[in-house]
Amino acid sequence: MTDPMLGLISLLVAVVGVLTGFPMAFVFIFVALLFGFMAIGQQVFNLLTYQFFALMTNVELTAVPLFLFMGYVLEQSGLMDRMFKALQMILGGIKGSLYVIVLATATLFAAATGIVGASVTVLGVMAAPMLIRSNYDTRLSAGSIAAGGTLGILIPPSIMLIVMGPLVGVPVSTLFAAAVIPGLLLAVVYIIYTIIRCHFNPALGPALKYDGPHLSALAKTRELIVGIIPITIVIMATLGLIIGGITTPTDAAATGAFASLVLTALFGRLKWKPLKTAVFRTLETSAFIMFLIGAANFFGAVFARMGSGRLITETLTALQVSPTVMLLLMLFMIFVLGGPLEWIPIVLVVVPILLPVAQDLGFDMLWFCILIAVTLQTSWLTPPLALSSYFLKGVVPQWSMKDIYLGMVQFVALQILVVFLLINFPILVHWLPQVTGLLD
Amino acid sequence: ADKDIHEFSIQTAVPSASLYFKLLQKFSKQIDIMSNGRLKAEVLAAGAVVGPFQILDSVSNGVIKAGYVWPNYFSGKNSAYVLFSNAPASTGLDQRSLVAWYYNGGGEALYQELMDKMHFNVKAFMVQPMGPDPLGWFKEPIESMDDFKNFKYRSPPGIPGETYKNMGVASVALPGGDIVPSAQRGVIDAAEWIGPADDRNLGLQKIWKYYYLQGLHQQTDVGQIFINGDFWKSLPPDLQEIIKVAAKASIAETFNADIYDNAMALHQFQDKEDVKVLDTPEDYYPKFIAAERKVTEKYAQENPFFKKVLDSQTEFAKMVYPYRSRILTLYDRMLKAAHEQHEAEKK
Amino acid sequence: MNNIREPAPALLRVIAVLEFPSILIGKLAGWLILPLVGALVYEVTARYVFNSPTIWAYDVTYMLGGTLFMLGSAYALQTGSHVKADFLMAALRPRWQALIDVVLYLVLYFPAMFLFLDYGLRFAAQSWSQHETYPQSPWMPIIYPLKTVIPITLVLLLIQGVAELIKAVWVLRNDAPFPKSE
Ligand code: NA
Ligand code: NA
Repeated sequence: MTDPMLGLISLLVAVVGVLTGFPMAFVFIFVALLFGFMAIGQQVFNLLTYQFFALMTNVELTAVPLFLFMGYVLEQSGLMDRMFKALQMILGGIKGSLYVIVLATATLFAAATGIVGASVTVLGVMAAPMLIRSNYDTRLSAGSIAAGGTLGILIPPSIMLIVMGPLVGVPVSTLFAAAVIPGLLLAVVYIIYTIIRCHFNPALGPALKYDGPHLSALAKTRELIVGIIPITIVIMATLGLIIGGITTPTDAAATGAFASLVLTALFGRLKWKPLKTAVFRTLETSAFIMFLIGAANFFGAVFARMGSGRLITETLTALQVSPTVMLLLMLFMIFVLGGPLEWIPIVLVVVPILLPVAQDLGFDMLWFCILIAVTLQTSWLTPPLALSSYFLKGVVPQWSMKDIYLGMVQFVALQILVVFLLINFPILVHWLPQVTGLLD
Repeated sequence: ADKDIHEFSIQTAVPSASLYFKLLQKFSKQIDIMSNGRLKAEVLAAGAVVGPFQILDSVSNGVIKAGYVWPNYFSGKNSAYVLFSNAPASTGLDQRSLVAWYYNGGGEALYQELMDKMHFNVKAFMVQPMGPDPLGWFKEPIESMDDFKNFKYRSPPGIPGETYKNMGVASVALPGGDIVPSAQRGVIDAAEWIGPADDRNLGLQKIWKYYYLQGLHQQTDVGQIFINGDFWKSLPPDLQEIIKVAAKASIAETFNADIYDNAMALHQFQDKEDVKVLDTPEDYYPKFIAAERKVTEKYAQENPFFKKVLDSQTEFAKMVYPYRSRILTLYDRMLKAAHEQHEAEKK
Repeated sequence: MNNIREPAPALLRVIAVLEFPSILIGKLAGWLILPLVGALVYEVTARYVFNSPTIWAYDVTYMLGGTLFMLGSAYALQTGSHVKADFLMAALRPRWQALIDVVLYLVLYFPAMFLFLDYGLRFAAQSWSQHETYPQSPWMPIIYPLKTVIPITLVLLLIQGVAELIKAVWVLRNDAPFPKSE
């Protein structure tokens, strides 16, 4: 059997492997080791070592523990709780309002960082308890957080577009401008979807019931100001530092963590036990997230080493079909590969082979890249390697994997809808780069 | 004769739209045709199997059979590696002379000695002499080194970074992918990358409009192909010769592309993108050379092998100086005179 | 009935001894988050307030971050934080998941992690012998301590793996979930 064929079989084995219920980071390592061993022998262990070391020296991903620490400090100090009570008072009767808050915050997070692991887990830590206490639908809640968290990979600054730019020969600034409207469109489609679902079935996002003691108007106002404003300032300032182009996400995450510690101290809640809990939760969560990313990277590297990406891509592009059919086939292939793989091996191995073909077919490169990017975003949501759902499961263990999967499927469908919108209305991609003069 | 097909992949340290990636694809196609299909090389974008900093280890122990990278990435293992991609300006070597030193001045043997000394089972080939790298992109024009000192400048780490620090420039090292976002955020206000054609792919011209082509920190810059030693020995002599010749052909391709692609990019910058191409301030050159000398002396003291290679390069540069300097003066005068003649004819 | 489903105190003591290294070292590594925050806040202040960025913050960032998550991975195994897709197995008796776990630990986990340790050790040893520095930044710090974190992580994962295996064997024999320790 040839190496490329082995690589394809490894994808199928990974699907089965995940279902064993063994910690899946290790499952991905085992499958990649087994198949990699057949191709390159014991050297596969060197590859494993190099991949983990590369992850250890990744400064960008250091934002993950930092954002998590910020989230856990705010949660442990009880400040999140207080904010929730205040929100209950304001949003009282509006059905499904928490979905809108979650998705809007996710969009803001996306505009600030491109780090999916951070957005999904921080939203999970901070919003999931509210959603659960408000009796929101588990699937729709999980889907909103998992899908909302992946928006960061598309909305600039997006690490995926930074990697794609030099691969496809389009300046990263142009790619960024082109991705803004598709990214926001996705966010809007998500929000409209949750509102519509809640409109027809209020049980999915019931009105919030205020369950605290009765308060005078003055006390209420005070609770609103003290409950919401400080946390909002910390979170907005952190994200604002990045969106405003002042610091890198990692720097801002540290500043945000520091600000939450200061805020907690100001409220007199900086105590030993909650701090310890925040530190150890941060440790557990970032360890499993980063270890899983390392495993996924290693799996992808073995796949690239086997040459399977080249095999399927070359087979596909050799087909004699019309340009439209070819486009749909290419996107479909990327979508399917997005199941067992993360975006990195797909971008690095498959895209360089697709590109000359797309060029020959006369596709507009910018438009083609954005279509690929939106399609690739689903790779975070499609099993077996649905990292977004696993990040969420890790911080909200009481939600079952099945519910999370079923919640995400709805959002994957919305994602496909947006891909079709972009195929039919390329103006959505071109408009912003044109008016900003990035595209002539 | 041997009819086996020898397949390998070349893990590069560059993205696939890069000029250097395309030159490697050409190399791969040429060895395929010359060997009548017996040599097949797949060129992989940076990071596909391993990252740039792992290429030497990976090729040596066979995780991948071949790689493409600049040896200065491994100067943390032995500082002498940098000399094989970036001979310091203070040696007096220009890009063409460095290649001449490598093939005719004992460079190749010194390089193999270094690989053996470090226990790397690697056969290395110079393929892409792409120097000089420009001084780079600036937020505002600079008139002198005093102006330069006001900028936070992205430079390559190692000898270049230390030299700029010695000159009082706040140099920051960032990976390629971080340059544009950091520039947009104001983390840096000037940056160098590779050369006009590659800088254009990165999109720096959309952010800053002042471009200085003349820089000394990487006046020589050579991308290389590393091949696993066992794989190399497993190849029959005719295939080995094909690779050797294709590597030399790649050097010629690179010299052509350096001139053509970079000139084309420069026209795009000036005619369509409103970029001002300026001359580097005069006081830059002596100050850089003096500062760099101090840095290389420190390395030479710490590492005898670094000293051995540096001395060999310096001796070679001294030896070719009487010839080379006059030839370069000749071309300089000729270009100026021809240009003035063309301008006069226009009127 | 109750007697059968409570692990013997001696067994619990063995597990506690085996879990001690991952808990102790993991928790110590967890506190690295504080110097990490401190270093970056210092850097941000130095850069924006005093316009003099540090030379070390970039490297210190990944060193602390990388050490934190690697040394925390065995701790995460102990706390059961590594995510599992166990919805299929959850439908069956606990014994079935335990059977799979025992088999996978014995056949894949221990050999794989042992060889990972072996290669990780060589990776670190080579770096020590080269006195390797990392030329990704102007600081060019020594890198062998960070590389040494890899074999340490693997030792912790192997020891913790033994504890996990013992727990899985107990579940296999008793067909009841292993009681959570405090
Ligand atoms: Na983003
Ligand atoms: Na996936």
